Amino acid sequence: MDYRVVYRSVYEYEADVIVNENTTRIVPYDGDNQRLLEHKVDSIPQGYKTYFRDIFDNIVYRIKVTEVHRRLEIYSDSLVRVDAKAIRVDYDFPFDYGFNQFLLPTRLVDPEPFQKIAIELTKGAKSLGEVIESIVEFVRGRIKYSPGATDVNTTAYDAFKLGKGVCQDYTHVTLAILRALKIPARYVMGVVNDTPRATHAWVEVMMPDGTYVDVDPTRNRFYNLGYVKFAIGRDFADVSPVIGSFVSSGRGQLKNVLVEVRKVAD
Amino acid sequence: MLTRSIAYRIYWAGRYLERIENIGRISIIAINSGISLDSVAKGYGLEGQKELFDYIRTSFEYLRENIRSFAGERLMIEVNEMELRINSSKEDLLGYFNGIISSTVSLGNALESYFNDRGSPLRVRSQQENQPEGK
Repeated sequence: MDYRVVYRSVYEYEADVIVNENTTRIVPYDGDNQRLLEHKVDSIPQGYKTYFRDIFDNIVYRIKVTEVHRRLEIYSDSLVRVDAKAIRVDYDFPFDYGFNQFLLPTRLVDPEPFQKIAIELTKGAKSLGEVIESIVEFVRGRIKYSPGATDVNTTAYDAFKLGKGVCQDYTHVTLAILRALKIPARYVMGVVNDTPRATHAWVEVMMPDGTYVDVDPTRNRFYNLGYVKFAIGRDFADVSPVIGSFVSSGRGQLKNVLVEVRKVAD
Repeated sequence: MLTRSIAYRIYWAGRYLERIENIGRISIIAINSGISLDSVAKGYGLEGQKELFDYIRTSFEYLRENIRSFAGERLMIEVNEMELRINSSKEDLLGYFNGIISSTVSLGNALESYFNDRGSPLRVRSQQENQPEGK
């Protein structure tokens, strides 16, 4: 299925900004079940641009604007093909994956405090599919969707204690429990394929055959979600859509984010 | 906000202002000491008194062009005041140079408060991040 995907974020500043430098991950991922057919990344005002792929193979653009401005718009316009995956989750649990980078603790996702919960939750579970479903059910029961309750620096455990959060927190807590069970799982940032209002976050769980299955704990959806993923990483810090700094005497704020996903072909 | 080109203009505006003030003060000392303005001009590498006045005039024109690139109305009023002094009668040379010095001091003070009123200094700040919050 082919999608036209547009991402646009607008920043406004109290005073003139003389340098604005940003690292962006706003282009659909080119790999796994996605193929990036075309893309364009730019900013208003325009700046110097450079491009690279990071350690997770995400497409990263760095944009440095040196023209004096009080408003900055960063946007991407892409065409991406999303294919369905062959999903299999009836693998035996537990399974020894050995070392994997998606098992390690990170600043935002530390599996340690979730050890007991994880073991308790998966008592009697025989397959990975059952484990995933019981974790998602548990997370959804513990966290109430509440925008503004958390921010980009809220850790999985803080969100869990708070009992409130957005898709990012559902994802972090799910990742922490999966990693506590030694199941490699990664954070995915992207957009949903049905009238998205903002960027979304969900989880990809590694199967013993090395493939990843997608799970959306926020919307309680499992496998072959059909969403358009932008970037993958260990936690949000690896995939932040736009991260950067600017030089100014005044403060700045993210005024709005616009995300558009339009199906252009089956 | 301070771009490189503006910083350059501020630097040169400062230099021209100092130059005019300096000529004014040296000339007053010379007049009070009975030294002719032709001798003062020679000290500056100029031919004579007329060139000294032309030099002040040219320095002022460069000063005005530099200040015009960044300054507001208040500073331009001070600049115009200085122009009046520079173009005023030179019959009373002591009064003439005193007038020039007074206008350079006044323009200097106006520049000082112009920069002091610029608000908080430039700082490197973090861009606000976009937290995924789709539902």
